[in-house]
Amino acid sequence: MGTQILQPPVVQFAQLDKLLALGRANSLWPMTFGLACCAIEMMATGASRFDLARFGAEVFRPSPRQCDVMIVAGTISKKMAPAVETLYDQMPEPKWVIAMGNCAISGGPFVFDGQYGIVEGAEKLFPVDVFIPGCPPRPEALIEGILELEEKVTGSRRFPRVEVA
Amino acid sequence: MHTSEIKQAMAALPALAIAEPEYAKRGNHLDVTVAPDQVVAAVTVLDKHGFFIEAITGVDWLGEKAALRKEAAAKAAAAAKAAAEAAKAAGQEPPPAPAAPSEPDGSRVDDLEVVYDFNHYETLCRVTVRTRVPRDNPEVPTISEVYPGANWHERETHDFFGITFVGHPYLVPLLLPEDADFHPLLKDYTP
Amino acid sequence: MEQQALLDLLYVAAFFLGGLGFAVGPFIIALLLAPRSTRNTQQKTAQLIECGMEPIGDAWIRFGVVYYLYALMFLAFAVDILYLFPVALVYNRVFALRDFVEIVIFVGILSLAVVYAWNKGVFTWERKSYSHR
Repeated sequence: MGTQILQPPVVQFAQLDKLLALGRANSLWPMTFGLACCAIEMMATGASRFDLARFGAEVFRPSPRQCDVMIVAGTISKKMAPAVETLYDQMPEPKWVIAMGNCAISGGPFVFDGQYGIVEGAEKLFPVDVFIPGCPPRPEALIEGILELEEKVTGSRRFPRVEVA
Repeated sequence: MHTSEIKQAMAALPALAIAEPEYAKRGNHLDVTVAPDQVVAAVTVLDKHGFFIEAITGVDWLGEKAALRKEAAAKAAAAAKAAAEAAKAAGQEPPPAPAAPSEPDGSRVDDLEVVYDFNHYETLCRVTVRTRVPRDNPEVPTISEVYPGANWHERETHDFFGITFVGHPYLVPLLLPEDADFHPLLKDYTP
Repeated sequence: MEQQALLDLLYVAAFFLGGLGFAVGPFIIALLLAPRSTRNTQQKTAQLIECGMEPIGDAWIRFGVVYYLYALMFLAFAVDILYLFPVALVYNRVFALRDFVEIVIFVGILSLAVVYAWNKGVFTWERKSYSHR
């Protein structure tokens, strides 16, 4: 399920890793992978009010070969599952996956006894790094998810976390 | 309004039943039931009058014949009981128990119904065409020659009910996975 | 050779090597620093990209020859521009009108190529219907 042992690069040392992680985290290029309603919120996040370009993640690439992060936004139906897996395969390392919305986390509102049509969560297909709950999550939630992913990549968070009083 | 013209054309087909329900209650102006082999003719009439197809869906009538039979038996028993009471009250001997009621329908297999919804572009006139096929051999001629837009609707109905549309150019699963061999909206579907 | 020519040659060589490094450097850096494999679920990393579907046909397809002609026209005029750079250095040495007329004649002769291509229909791109495999 996508947890193979990977060959490390030819040249690798700690300081370079830190530098590269900084570069990669601040320019995560997402793949336009909107499947359902969460795609609308993803589009809103990329638009001008909740600008995702501020965080370097504005360029949604249509080709999997050019992107770092796959934002699975929407319900994965059983008919669509092979296509999602193929696109995950075709992304080059280093790659991350954000599961956006309840359907991508665990099937969402479509889970019932005897459901025949959907895959219950993107985690069933490949490893997921960040889960963003919501149906659909607000654009601010998606931005928070991107910042969480940045923290996962670099180890520290650049913007302060908003504490609920 | 087209209702009267369509009604006349459908009656000439011949249609099995034509009803003019109230639009505010039922949502359509005309409800036509036809035999499966008259579907294409009925739909051609609508096409000539400029209607467009809105949706095709199916209805699974599993258990309908059994329920009707039970209802008929209960009614006969109640009628016999009432007759016996009346005879006893009049002092005569009760009439002999009636024979078991005959089968109301020729077969014991329930029906699948295919429902076609049509509407008109200029005037609001919603027409519904219905047809019934037995559940063990559900075959209806395709209307995708008349309405190419019905191609996908028929594929979806086939996906979910298993109704075969004879003559359809590409009857493969539309919404279910390509290798699906189950029909989820049938009432006896178990996952 | 004299000192000045050698110095100039050195400059040119340095710029040439710099340009080469600029072009080839990223390839080498990427080869050294990139991860060498990617996680798979279906072993489809090397498959041609067709938005997640099984690809229909080959990736190497024929494209219209109009693109080639358009690029050819561009190339001719790019070389033309290259010839105009030295003109900027020697302009107005004698008197400007002479240089102006000479440049107009030069560009005019080259623009005859555009007129020829125009008449041959290089600039009208007809809509092509693509054959389905």
